[in-house]
Amino acid sequence: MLFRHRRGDQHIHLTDAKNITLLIGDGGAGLLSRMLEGEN
Amino acid sequence: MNSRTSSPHRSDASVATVRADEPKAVYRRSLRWIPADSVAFVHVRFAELWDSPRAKAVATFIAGSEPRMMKTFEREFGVPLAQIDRLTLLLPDVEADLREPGVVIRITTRQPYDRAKLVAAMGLQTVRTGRRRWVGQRCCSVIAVAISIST
Repeated sequence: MLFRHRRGDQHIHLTDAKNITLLIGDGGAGLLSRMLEGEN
Repeated sequence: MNSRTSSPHRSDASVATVRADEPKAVYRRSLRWIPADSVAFVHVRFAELWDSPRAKAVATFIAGSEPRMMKTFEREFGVPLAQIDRLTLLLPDVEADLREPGVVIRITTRQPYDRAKLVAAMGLQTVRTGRRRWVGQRCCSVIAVAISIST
């Protein structure tokens, strides 16, 4: 599940029970898309 | 490596550069999320560093001189430093037209973390996402740096 940090410039993806993924900077959605592609 | 003809989902070439003091299978599991055509990444076995006597001395010093630092880290990153097993910093791309390059930090914890507690502590807001797919066409070499820290 994807969340936005209160500052707004950072997304946090709670990837699984032991992994937290922070997406910082521009293109957060693109970064996430790529990251999820890599998970599959 | 030509990313047009190889899978963008794996980074086997990167994994081959790691030190031999940990089974490759462990790295394959923990690094397979990294796109093969990423610009660079750094993988740190943070728990080994944190558990070392030197790191404990540093942590004690920080706790004494700047006690808010540990709490600030937990608020910003969701988990206390002592709960981190591995840290991976990824620079997936560098594009001239972006205000700043996107960076991905993956924190792997030693034990499963409490989602509800983390969301509340960080003040997170849910983001609705569609089924977006990456359609990258770049052809880049991977510059992979895997750091193994001996304690």
